[in-house]
Amino acid sequence: MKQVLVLLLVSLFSLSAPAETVVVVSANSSITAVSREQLANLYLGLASSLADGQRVIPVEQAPDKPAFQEFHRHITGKSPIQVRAYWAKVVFSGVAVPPRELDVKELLRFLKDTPSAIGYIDRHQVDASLKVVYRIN
Amino acid sequence: MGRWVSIVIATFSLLFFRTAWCEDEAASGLLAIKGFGSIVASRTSHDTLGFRTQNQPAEVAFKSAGRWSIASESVLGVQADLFQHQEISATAQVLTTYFQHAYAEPKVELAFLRWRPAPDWQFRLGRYWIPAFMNSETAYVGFANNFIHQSLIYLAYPVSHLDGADVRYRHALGDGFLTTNVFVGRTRYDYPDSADGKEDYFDISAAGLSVTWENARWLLRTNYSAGNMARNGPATTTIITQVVPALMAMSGANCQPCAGEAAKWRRVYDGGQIRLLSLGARYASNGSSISGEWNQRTTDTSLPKSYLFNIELTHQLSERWLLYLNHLAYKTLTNNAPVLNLPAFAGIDALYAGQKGDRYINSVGGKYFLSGNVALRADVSEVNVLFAQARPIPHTLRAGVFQFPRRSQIFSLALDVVF
Repeated sequence: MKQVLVLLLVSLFSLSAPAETVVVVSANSSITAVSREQLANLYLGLASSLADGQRVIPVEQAPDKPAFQEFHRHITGKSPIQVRAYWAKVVFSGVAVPPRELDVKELLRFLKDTPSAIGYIDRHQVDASLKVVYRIN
Repeated sequence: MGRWVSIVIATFSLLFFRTAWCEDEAASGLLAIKGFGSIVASRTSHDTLGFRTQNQPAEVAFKSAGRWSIASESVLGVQADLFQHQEISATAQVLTTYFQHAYAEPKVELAFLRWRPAPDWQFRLGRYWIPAFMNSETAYVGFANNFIHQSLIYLAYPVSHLDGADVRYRHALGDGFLTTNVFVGRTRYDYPDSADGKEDYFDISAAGLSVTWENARWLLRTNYSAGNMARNGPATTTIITQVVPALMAMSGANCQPCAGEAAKWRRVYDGGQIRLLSLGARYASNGSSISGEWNQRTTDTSLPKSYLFNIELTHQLSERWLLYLNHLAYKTLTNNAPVLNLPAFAGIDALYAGQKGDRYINSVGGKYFLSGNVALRADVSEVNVLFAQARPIPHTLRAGVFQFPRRSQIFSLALDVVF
């Protein structure tokens, strides 16, 4: 009975535990780590490369995905609607184009195939073909 | 109304085209078609006081005089971005609104090729947005902007794009990025449709330097532009061919200011020099922001020296609610020399000298995001005119006697979409 209760509690805890979002690149990428500021600049279209001049291609998930909301809340400080309004201003003035928006399956394939790409996914989706370069706690 | 129906049909056709031909836009990455639109209903507090934001004819301004109208500011834009590969792309945007006629008409707002040979460098060739605005940048995109009646005054008139080229260099500085933008181009300001159907226009050529430092929270910008404006059109040809020679003939002892006046008119039609210095700053955090912009215009006395000041405060009440306050001021510092130096205009000159030509608009408004694509806005603007003959920007127009009430109000509602 005691074991069942422990198992139930563990199950409940794992169900309620928030998913951890991590920023990843291809395992073949030369990128080893990025800072929060660098990610904010990449995802707001202010930068398209890292400090060493290496061009980086950021990719997004759909705004209704929990990973999108968690990533932007921590990195750009914007809600999905604010992100949408920000890019509407930037895109329709011809200043820049937003990161490509891919579903998780496409995003994983794109990240694995493109060493210069960077994206964010749930920690559980990381495998040997990907490298974690930033953790959102 | 018929034109709006055809525009809506055209938009849905484009969306169908997008769905049919570019079903997997994200995966192909070749073509993206996006758009925005606003239905803006406005009315003024006086049934003899009209309102307009573009170079629209008076009849459009008076549609909102004391009654609700969607004519003056409703807008629809469709944009196509074509990516050949990472370095080269093309952008085209068609914007439909009441420009200088009493009906909605589509015009090409953006059409440029972009080349990014390196992450820091960008070259654009074609029709591009003038990189000198701040609070009014993308004033047409209601979903992204707050204050409904943003001013698009560049140099002297409301224009938003140039046909030419620009070069941008961006590099990291501190925890932000410094962007230097050099631009050159031409544009055209069309006068409102005149009663006899003859339209005048200004040919405007401009070159400028814009320097911006920004990060996720701060934006600091300065811009200097120098331009030449030459007025053209059939309705004014007689002035350059008849009035100027006549004034020159009268100059001398009989008419002391005639020579100067003739020279002024010749400058207006041959091309007057005009310069714009703008400074702007914005700080945003947790959905709230404060932004301010100051533009000073100086000319070769073809037009008055003036400045435009705009400050906006926004506060995000919740995920969906946002409140904003906006103050827009236009001040004329010197008069239009030399004609108004005549004794008959001494009173006006004194008013300008005392900065009594000031006019400003204070607005309070709210925005509610229905979704990630649709928003509602409502604002009330109080137009203050210190001098009865001043014209606030955006313009209010008075029917009959050329005199404005000290205070008047504009009430506006907007439905904004992006797609």
